[in-house]
Amino acid sequence: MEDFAAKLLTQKQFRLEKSGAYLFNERISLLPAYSFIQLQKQLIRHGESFISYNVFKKMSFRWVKNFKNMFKVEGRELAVWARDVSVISGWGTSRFEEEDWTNYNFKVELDSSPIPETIILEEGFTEKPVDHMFRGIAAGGLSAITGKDIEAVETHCKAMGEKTCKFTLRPLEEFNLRKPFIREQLLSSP
Amino acid sequence: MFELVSALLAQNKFKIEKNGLELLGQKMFMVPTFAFVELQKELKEKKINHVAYDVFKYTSLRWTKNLKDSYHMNSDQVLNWARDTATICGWGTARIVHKDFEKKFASLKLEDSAVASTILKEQGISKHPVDHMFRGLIAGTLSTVLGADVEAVETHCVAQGANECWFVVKPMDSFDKSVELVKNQLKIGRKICY
Repeated sequence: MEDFAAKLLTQKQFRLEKSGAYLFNERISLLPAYSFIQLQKQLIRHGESFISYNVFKKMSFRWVKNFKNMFKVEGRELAVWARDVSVISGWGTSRFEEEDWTNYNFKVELDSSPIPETIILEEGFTEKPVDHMFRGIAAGGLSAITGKDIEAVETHCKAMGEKTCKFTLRPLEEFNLRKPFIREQLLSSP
Repeated sequence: MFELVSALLAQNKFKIEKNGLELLGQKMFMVPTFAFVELQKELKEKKINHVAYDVFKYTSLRWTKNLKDSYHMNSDQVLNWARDTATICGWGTARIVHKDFEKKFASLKLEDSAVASTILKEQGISKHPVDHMFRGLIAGTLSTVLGADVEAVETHCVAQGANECWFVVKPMDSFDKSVELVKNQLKIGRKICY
């Protein structure tokens, strides 16, 4: 990742200016991981936990689409770029476990994800997956790359005691919505 | 900002590593500012817009408490570091215009506000002040510095056409709750509508 960061700095794609920090011409802000955990907790308390998924899906869709238009990169090459940006932004290191670009069916593994790691550290193991923000990032990114509305479900989560977090990504109609954990994660999605 | 970032990088207090960003020992996330604008919009639609203020107040309370406890800083040092980290983190450049530790009062101005300038650019002039996240950040910071639970109200906002964003910080009891601006921004009678 240090190479990617150095490349961004030399190509002036990551700029620190008096008016703020910019990555690919988008103004960016930094926050500690525990802010997002607090946000998630508050949203759960108000019964609006899907807001974080929605917001991060929109954010990632817009960012990846901008990059696609700026640099005319597509498909897998764009996915690799999106992954590198997500790593440098602190969301953890992800990789495709399975990728079917024809049927829009993907499995993604996420390592060193700060949200579950911080939750385990502060509150212990959870009963349900917790990576709703990364779910949104992955869903929005792949929607922008494929041009198809893709949703994401976290099937394994480090916060539940798994070694890594794992996600299934595909169009909404391809998910079995009778399964409670899928329904729970997607029912309130846009 | 360059000097500050260079100094932090040199002192290993700002790190870009394989598994992400770290600032003063805390794992950080980098997010485009429009995500926070979008978050505020969604929270407003669900009538839980105070969540943004509450979460950011919690964040800065914890951040400044860590500065105070781990780095043994006094109030002025905490205030300077909080201001510098807010700038590095892209929230804008804040300056305390007036502070009275005894009366638990402060007024601040913010230049280049991330949220207000993004809203102005993307949605045009706003009817109300929009810096609820930054309000939370200064309320938490000054609660640590002043040693009392204080709240923040934004009185002028770039998104409304002002040159800078201005904030007043003091304990909840000291605000005139009949003022619409105060009523709208603070949790008075659970009727929150900013």
